[in-house]
Amino acid sequence: MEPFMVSLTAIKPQRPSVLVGRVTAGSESVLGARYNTTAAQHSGLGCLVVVQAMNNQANAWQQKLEKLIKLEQGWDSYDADPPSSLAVNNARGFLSHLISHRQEPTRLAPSVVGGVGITRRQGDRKVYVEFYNDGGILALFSDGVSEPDVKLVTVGYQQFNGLLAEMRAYLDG
Amino acid sequence: MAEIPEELKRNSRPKDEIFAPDEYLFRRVEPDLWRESGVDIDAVMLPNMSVYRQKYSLPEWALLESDQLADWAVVGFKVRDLPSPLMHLGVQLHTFEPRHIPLDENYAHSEVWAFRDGVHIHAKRDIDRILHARWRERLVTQLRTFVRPKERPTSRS
Repeated sequence: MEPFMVSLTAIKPQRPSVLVGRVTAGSESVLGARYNTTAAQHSGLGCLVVVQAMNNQANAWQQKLEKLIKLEQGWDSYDADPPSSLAVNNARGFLSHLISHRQEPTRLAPSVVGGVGITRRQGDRKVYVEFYNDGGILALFSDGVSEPDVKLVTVGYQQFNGLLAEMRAYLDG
Repeated sequence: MAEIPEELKRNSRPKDEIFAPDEYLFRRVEPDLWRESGVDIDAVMLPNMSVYRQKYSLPEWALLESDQLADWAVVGFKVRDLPSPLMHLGVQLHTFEPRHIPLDENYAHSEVWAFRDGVHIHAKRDIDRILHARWRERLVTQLRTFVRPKERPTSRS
């Protein structure tokens, strides 16, 4: 079945990050939010709804990331380097991974050490991934109490998949 | 630039290298790096991290260097809460200490220095990234917020 884009911009869903589901023609309920769709939109077939609100969330993170390129030397009012194109590119790749696996970041920000930081939190636990200006990547697993676990990560699809799996296991653990 | 309080100006005063363990060190933080629950490790760094020392400064004075800092946050930590010493790779002993580095317009200015086996580390590239991240994470768990973004107190004394 082909993905079918439905514009739901007029709706303000309560839980945009989980609004993915199958609908048929008519007024449908997708995880508690109701949307009016028309027969013309899906030709009478069930379809995968990629909710516009979810795309907007992904776009918001991407836009935040792209803005970091415009930072100048000393953006932190001390002497921090701005994120490099390499750091932003690596962060962009990992961000896409997170979003496509519905593991949205909790925050994304420039780092005063020079680079980009992406954090995902769950309860007291967090995983902070730092993308350095020279292309290096580091992941820090911490519950704020015990000694943090820190590891270096290399760039790559499989490596990001592996990191994502570790993040899930840690945050869900 | 905001008016610098007379108490913050150096006025020929000498360095004061005595830091009490309970003395707070303040650091301003860009609003995007601040959260109600604290800040993440991307807001702190080594080596030679600039701070304002409590003995000669109010927290909000860290925001006086530029009008553009008016909406920023100020966080702080006690000298005794500096994560020090830290052993790295089982052989390298790292210590971290404050140093008073007064400036003409900022007598409270200080820096947190890093030492490896007693030798001052000057460059970021000379600090192992894993050790650096461990130190930063341990420090941010000790941070306290003194000024939230857009909440700079008007009091100067």
